[in-house]
Amino acid sequence: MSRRFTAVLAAAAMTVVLAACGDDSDSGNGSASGGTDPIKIGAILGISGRFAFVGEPQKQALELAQQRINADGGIAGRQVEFVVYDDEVDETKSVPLANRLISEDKVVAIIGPSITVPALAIQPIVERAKIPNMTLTSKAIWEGKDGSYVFHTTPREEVEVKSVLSFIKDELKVTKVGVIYDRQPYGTGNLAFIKQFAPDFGLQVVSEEGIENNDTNADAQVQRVRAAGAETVVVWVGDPAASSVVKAINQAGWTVPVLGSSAIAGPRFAELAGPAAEGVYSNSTYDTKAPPANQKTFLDEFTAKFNGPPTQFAAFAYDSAYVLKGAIEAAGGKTDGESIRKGIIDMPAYEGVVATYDFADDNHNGIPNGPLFYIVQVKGGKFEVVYDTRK
Amino acid sequence: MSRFLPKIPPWVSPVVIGLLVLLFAFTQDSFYRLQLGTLSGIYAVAAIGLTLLFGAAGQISLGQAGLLGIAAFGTAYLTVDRGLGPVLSGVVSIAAATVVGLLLGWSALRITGHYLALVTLAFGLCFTELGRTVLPEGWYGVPPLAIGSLDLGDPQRFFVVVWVFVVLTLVASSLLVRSRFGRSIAALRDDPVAASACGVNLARTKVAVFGIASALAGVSGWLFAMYQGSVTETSFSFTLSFNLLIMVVIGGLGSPTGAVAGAVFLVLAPELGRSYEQYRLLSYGLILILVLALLPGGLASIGRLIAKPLRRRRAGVEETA
Amino acid sequence: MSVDYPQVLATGLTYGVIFALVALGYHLIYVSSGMLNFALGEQLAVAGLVVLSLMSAGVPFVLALIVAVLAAAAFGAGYERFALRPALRMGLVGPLIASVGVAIVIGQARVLIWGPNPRPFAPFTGAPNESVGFLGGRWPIQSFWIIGLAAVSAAALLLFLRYTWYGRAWRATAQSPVGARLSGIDPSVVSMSAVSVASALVTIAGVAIAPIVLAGGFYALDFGVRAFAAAIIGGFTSTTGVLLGGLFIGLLDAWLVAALSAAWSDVVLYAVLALALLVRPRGFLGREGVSRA
Repeated sequence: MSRRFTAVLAAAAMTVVLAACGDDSDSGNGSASGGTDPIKIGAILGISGRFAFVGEPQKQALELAQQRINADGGIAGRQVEFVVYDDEVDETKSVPLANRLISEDKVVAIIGPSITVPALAIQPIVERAKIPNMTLTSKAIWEGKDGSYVFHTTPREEVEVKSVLSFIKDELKVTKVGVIYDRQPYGTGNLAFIKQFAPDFGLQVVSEEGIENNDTNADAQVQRVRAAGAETVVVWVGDPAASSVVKAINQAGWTVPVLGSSAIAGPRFAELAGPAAEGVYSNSTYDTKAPPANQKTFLDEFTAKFNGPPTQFAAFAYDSAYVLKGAIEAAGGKTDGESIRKGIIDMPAYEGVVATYDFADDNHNGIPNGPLFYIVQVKGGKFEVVYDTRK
Repeated sequence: MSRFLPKIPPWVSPVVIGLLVLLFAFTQDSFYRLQLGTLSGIYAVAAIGLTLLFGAAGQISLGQAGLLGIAAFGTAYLTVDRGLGPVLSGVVSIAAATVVGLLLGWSALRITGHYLALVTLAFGLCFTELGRTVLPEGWYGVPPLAIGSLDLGDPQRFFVVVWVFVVLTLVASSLLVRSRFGRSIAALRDDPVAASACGVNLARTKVAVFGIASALAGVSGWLFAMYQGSVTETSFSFTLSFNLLIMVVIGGLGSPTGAVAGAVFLVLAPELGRSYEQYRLLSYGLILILVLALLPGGLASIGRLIAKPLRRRRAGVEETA
Repeated sequence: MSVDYPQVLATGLTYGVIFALVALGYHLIYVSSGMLNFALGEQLAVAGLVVLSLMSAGVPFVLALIVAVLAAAAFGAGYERFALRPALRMGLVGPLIASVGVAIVIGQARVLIWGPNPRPFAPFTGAPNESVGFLGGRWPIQSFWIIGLAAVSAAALLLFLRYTWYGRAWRATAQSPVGARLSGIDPSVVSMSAVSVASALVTIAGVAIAPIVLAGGFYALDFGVRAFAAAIIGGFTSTTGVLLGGLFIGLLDAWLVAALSAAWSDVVLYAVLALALLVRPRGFLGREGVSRA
């Protein structure tokens, strides 16, 4: 049948096109150490989709990092180029993108993914390909294995959870906690930690209500949390859900302290929640009162370049870029996977924008496990530091 | 009746595809391309099922992703949580997907057309929601395919394995379409009244076609779980059902080879314009509209359009029916 | 778990009238041409954004709303003519799939033009988050606008259909396309105008609900499916049916969220839709034998 024949022809044509297309683009860089070709570092970020508020600032941070690093002379004398792909927080895309970065773009390292599920999905790929991976999710991906290529430049989930719990205990001085959490792993994972550590702080979780990141009606959840007798509400989800929760609380006429995760510590929350945002707490690693020098530089340059301040997640991506820079330079400019990996471990502690990163053979968590965050509060529509958990 | 016999023997296209596949497998050292090729093969299996269901039998389903999901979840659960081997897990999971598909087929007995579309849509959405509610974390570390001590998880080998399934499915569907059952299926689409007047058991045919389509979707889901290694409900949303539909429409309804072409196209298309990534889904929508409006026969019908003048010349000689 | 029934009423009615309007749109289109249109949900989501953009260009709100509605009507006519009707070649299922294509195009264009983040939309009157107590529940002030606007639009449409020439033409086509054609009515014009009017209705609904659910969020599928459920349960072919169906689904959804958790409410709702389709596809008020597909 000629129908079938054409279909075969079409499939054949496609295969041929694919096979022919760019197979010879391999001019042998990436693993070579010499020359003046730019060093390519890949990044897989959730720039669009549900977690755009995480990935978009990260992409911008890498743009800024590329600009600054190159202006300062590059890495070991070579310019750096970040090849950034959007996985839309869909691990079905993250996996082929990781493969593409490794075998087509020939990157020497990969930053990201931004979220847990894709990060777990590409872990076997980077390990097998021996490409260092600065993962940007707070969930523990590195399992303590020696020789692993996965490194964390983000604090572990427990750190933020403990920050929240310690603030409730020390400053709010209440004991009954209600939690409204994202039904995705971002929320469910942290909910588990909240329940695990609450007793250590003398707190009790009296209510847990799930919500979707895109939900705009939180009346039912708020009503149930209130009915359970919660004295404070912890909100572990991004926008627009988080602002909907706060609006619902406001509309119900309920006066209760609200603690959001670092997902809301940015200008968008107040924009969406309006007057209901006043007084809401969140976590931030930025010290708005007296930022250290390099944090201030980062904040100023980011705000100038992108017409607005960065959110939390941007800083970690930015720092990852600099850690890789330090690693390659510590490896004497060599860019093969093993050398960079050793470089990350051997390099001296790096003072980043929000934390000091130090890696060791038996510790791929760059940020020490102690308290890291400031508690910030919305005052006049902007987040201000009110409490330092590090003390 | 010879008018209905194909001019090209049915074994040609599977063989051609098989040869292309082997060529591809052994000349590609790009891991990434192999992965893409594998993924298109995986979707091709499900697409063939859908084209049989939709194109051949005229039954629409907007929930195929749910069936893939059932098989993938089952495979992941059985291999990761229960430690069963990949083949056994596959058999069980595919069976589960088929059972659900048969239920859908049974429901198709009562409703048709639009309503069937909505029911399958509701099923697909229900599956996604259930997955999100009950199993949001999904599974990681689904082991690659291995039969006994024979490791088939190696990218090159798995690519070949997947395409072996595609070719087998192509052969089977060609045989099916030519068989008596295949004619019942066509009759179901074209003229149910006349068909049942001729003694075709419409109910059984309908349910059977759903069964076949869901079994193929199940195979696809099983392969997908082993390919991806991690299984969460995000991989089986309505977008996938929609993508399968596009593959089938673009490839030409009722043409299994067309479905394969559609699958290859859909998986590869993003590669042809990386910097236009943000326009990809938009262009799929536009392509779908254009194909529906201008070329309902899909890619496979291009040949027919070209061959029409040729065929007219031959028709005088050929007509024996 | 105790359910706050007055609040269920408030939420249920507010969302329910929106479902009713969208379902009315499906009804208009289905009855005049037999097509199912999946694009209305996305048109709902984008409505608020269009108005926001017009307002930020200096156009006063009411004028912006009128422009948006007219633009939507034109757009609807356009895609009916160029995307849906040509697909009829494939049978009635063709336009259904084509409408999915249109929905995808609208959704993607929305993200390209306005970005992926939904935007806040000021309520028509009152401060954001302001609400009043009424019948024991808290009603955002916007709710009254929504219900009022929806009621007025629906009533206007029903009167229009009943007493104008166009309305008679539409009803005639619904009953018998052949007969209508014989009477000199062009069914393709009726079909095109049905999509046009449906688009307009949905745009009004979208702007009305934007202050509550934000303009341009990812809720097109949610609203679209619920409106379908409304039309199924009420009966695709019955005008009163789809309106009542919308209210019913709105209340059911609100009750499910309050009684179960938000997570399970979706599952149950989709299951209910499937069941309704299996058990009584023509709905409670629909006419017999109009499966049309």
